[in-house]
Amino acid sequence: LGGNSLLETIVYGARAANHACDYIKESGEVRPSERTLKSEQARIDNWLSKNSGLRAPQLRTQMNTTMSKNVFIFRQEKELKQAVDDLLEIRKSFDRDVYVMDKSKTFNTDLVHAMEVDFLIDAAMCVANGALARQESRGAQARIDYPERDDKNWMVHTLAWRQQDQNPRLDYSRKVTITKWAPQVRSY
Amino acid sequence: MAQVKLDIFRYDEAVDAVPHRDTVEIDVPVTMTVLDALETAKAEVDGSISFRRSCRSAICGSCSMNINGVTGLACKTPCKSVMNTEGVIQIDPMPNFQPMKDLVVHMDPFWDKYTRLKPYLQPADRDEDHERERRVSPADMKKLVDAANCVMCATCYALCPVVSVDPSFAGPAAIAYAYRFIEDVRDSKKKERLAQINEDYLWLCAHCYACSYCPKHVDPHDRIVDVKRATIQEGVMMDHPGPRHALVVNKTIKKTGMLAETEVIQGTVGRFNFVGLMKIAPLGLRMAAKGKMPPPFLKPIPKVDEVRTIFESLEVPT
Repeated sequence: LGGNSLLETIVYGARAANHACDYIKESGEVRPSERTLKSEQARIDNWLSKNSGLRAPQLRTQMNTTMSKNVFIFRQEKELKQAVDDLLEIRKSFDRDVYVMDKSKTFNTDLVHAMEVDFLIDAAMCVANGALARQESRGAQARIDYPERDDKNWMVHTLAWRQQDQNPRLDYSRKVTITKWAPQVRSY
Repeated sequence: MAQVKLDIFRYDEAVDAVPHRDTVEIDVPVTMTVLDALETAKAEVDGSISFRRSCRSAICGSCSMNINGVTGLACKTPCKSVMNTEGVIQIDPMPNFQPMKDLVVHMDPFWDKYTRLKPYLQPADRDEDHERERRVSPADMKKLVDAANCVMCATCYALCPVVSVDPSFAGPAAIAYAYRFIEDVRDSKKKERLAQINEDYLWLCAHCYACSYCPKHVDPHDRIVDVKRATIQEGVMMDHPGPRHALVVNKTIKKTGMLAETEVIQGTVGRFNFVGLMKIAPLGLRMAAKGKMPPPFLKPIPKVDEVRTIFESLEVPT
């Protein structure tokens, strides 16, 4: 897997970079949105201004625990529901209580880790909610309560939209386009 | 579980005039690595403890630091192998680098020395269409894999006593990585690469073997020897003191079985390099005054044939 992912990283990293360069050239002067800048600054200032509450490592451990226990290789409804509930609580307590202990402006890894955990919780919520909604088994999704693949209902991409203090809104408007390789039963 | 006391170098370049030390006590299994102990201390006690880390399994090269005064990867060092009877482990940033914050150092000089070497393949044809593979035989690749395993953790650079006295020296890692391209059959810039590494003071290496301690077994010291040998074989920069010194030492030992110091000095500096010779003349006079002037000519030792046989069996380039 290391070999595959490394090659993929290099090839698609180069393609993404070339594409980004072309995009910038075509777009002329690009200015970041003032609103985004302000909200990001507020997010960071909020963490740095507080001196008590919860720290990102503790919430990361809670997230790891529920993901490993309930959204692992073999999945089922009861466990996935538990993970969805746990993650929403973790999301809310992160937004409400998290603070960064290190106030330094030099190489502040405590701050960077908090940002990472912030995004990881979102990613975990997408995975858990998507896995719960998808009532079939396909690829890395192995549901013991829905062991069969269901091409009739589930040949769709899962798009997840972030919502404040709620689970992500799931959207299945994009159908899968079949090009060279038609999906087949995995019979090995 | 055991009580581990991490005695950590603390410093923030933005606010601190001088560093101080903090001791953080944690309860962890002694089989835990020093890196995980640091992570535990950061997560549970003091979030401001700063160090670089990424993979936690000795493939990214981020977490090199001094543990009880010895440089190495924290993720590859179990606490029980380094803690003393009181459970104390001293942790400091890598030497030969400017500290930035706690165990994080400024890596710029190290990366600059890599960049100067153009650490990427430069084949003869650009092959823009990628129509053909550039093939390497397994035998040719075998020479490169050890050096290519380098994770750029800078452990060898931190351990190098030559870097500590002369920061212009390229350092072991960069030379070992230069070797990786110099010996690559697909590359077309062998001579240019050798010239560059010679410019970067290849010959300052004192062959002390400190860099033989490498977490990835790259053995930079042996690669430095290889690059020096390639320099002479390719006839690059032969008018410079480095290659000349190596050759004249070689020559006098082969001839007499001893180091003929007078001849070595002339050979290194250059027999007709009067300016150079004048510069070392005071040293010669001081040595003469103390009765330590080496003899101008040496008689070969009785069994010099045996010395010559050793040289011939090692195929030393002349």
